[in-house]
Amino acid sequence: MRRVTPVDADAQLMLRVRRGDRQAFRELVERHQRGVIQTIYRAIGDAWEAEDLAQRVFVQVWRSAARYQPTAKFTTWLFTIVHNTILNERRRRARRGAESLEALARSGEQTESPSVQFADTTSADPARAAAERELQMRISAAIRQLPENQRMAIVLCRFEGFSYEEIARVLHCSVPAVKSLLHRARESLKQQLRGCY
Amino acid sequence: MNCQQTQANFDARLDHRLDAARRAEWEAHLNACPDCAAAWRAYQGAWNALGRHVAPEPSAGFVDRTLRRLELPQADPAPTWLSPLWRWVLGSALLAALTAGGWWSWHIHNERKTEAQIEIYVMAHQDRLEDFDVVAALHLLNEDNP
Repeated sequence: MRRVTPVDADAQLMLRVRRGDRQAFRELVERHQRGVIQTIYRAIGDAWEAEDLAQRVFVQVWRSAARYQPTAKFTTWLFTIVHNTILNERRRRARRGAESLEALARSGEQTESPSVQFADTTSADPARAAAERELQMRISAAIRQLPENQRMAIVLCRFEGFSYEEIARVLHCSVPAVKSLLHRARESLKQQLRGCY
Repeated sequence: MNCQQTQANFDARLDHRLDAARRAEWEAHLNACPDCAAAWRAYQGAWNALGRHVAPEPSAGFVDRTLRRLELPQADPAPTWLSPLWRWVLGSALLAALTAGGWWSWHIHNERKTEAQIEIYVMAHQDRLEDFDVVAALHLLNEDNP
């Protein structure tokens, strides 16, 4: 009997989702929610909005399930939707000149907490905790100052373990272009994160 | 492997894309070259620091909220006139109207300018025209009374 690999499992779930199977959809969301939310968070920098956009991504997956071809790796297809959603969000912000919801939340207009839990980074040592917070802020700023495609390439490579070929499919570019994006992003991060290593 | 080749392979080394032979060659150069070793430490250090970035975990109930969102009616599509094709058509029509308006006002302005120039010319040469009338009248008188 053939063993079902995780990749096959995604494709099989998507085939069920295409037939309108909500349980299969639930499983898909459970499997990929973390990667989708965290990728969007690293691009947008706002936990509340990252969850909202991630929900939109999964709703889009549900509505576009008929267009999914099992020949394409599911995560490549999924993160293409993630990338397009981020680009649309940036365009929307640029059009409306909207401030981030994070800023609204800070100003007190946002009353409902996003209730997003960070992994436990607290420490018994306050100085160490402060240093860790400072490091996180510097890394976040360094990621966000990257151009859109460099940021997506670096996030997919570093945090989602995508290959050059998979990143190329998500960003609709060639493998040499991905190598170039990654190299430029790493050079930029090296400058930005000087003193953090 | 020289310094340039060694540093050009930093990305391949980080992404585990060097085969065993090239990796051995790369490491041999790095062990012998302090400049490349320092450059590598910085490059790898930034990559490792990046890996320490913490992002939020999904909140409790995220999956349920996502499934409930499937029930919501799909947002109304943007009005047809906002579609790219219509925006292009409207933009072209506006440009054509502006061009026609511009040409028309230029034409009217030129016509008025010509009339004003004639008037100025007539005023400037009024005396000479009057003289011409007198000469013409005398000439007619002479013709009538030879």
